[in-house]
Amino acid sequence: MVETIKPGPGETFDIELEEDLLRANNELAEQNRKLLDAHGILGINVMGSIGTGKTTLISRLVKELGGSRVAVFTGDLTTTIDADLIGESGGKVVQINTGKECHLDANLVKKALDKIDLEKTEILIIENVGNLICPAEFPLGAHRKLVLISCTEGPHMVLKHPFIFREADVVAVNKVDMAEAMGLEIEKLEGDLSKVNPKAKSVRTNARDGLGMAELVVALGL
Amino acid sequence: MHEFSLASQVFDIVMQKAKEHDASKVLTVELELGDLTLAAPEQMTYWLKELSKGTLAEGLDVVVRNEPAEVRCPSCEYEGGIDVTSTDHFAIAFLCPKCGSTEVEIIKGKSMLLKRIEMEHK
Repeated sequence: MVETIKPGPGETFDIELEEDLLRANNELAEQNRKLLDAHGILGINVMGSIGTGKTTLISRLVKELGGSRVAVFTGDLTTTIDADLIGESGGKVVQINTGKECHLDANLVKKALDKIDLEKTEILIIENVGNLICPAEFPLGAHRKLVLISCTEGPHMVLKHPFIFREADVVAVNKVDMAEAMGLEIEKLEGDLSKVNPKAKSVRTNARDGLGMAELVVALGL
Repeated sequence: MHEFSLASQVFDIVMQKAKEHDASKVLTVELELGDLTLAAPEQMTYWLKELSKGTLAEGLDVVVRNEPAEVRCPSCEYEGGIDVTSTDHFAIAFLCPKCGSTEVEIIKGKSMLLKRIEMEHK
């Protein structure tokens, strides 16, 4: 017979735990990954600050890859601006509105996966909320992470946000046509990147006119 | 920046545990946050206190313990702490303090844990 001593009325007691606050998200991300794998879908999580050109670049990618086999989830706080823009390029688009949340999480992606035809989809592009801080900590289940920098953001983006660049598989340095006007040395930015994440592939792009898109497709292994 | 959603998760677990253990009051919640997470202790504390208003956790103490960052370097086999107070940002986590290699692996400093809850029994 085991005797247990329980705290009596008004007594204080401690419980020890080891609850990982990111566990719920990580488990759902794992489930998303398995679902994608089971259907042979390659998932890409696209991250970058507001105005780096994520939506324009994704529209280009969809066209480059042939619209119908691509599905796109666009994350934004409240608008459908991104989904409307990408919808014009031919892929299936699901808008995920996070309300006030600053990043997409695996649960939102899981819900959006219900809205697409998994049999017809070969590539899933997930446009995260424009933000370089929070998305770094919330895996979604995607296979590749693409992070955008634009030349209009100035020379310090990689060093200011090393965490997200460390997570990247591919980095697109976008709006290269603006580099000269901004007095930006792209080589310097690429140098910072090679220090923060020597394994990431870096591609120079100008999504508006399509420059570098073929290279980006190769770098992403599509 | 996402402290509110993290704090909400902590709060939900705390309330669930309080119910399971027949608590009349939650006195202390102890968290462990790694140096290399992007969650700020002050904001976590603030949101937990906000969320607990009007509940049996109102007025709780929030203790945030730090988990110091540690890296392992495949080049020189250094294993240990790094200087997280450096102002050279990528040096914080990404350079080996011994040989300067950029290919270090993070072994500690990413944890976000709820470690302990102190409660008062009914």
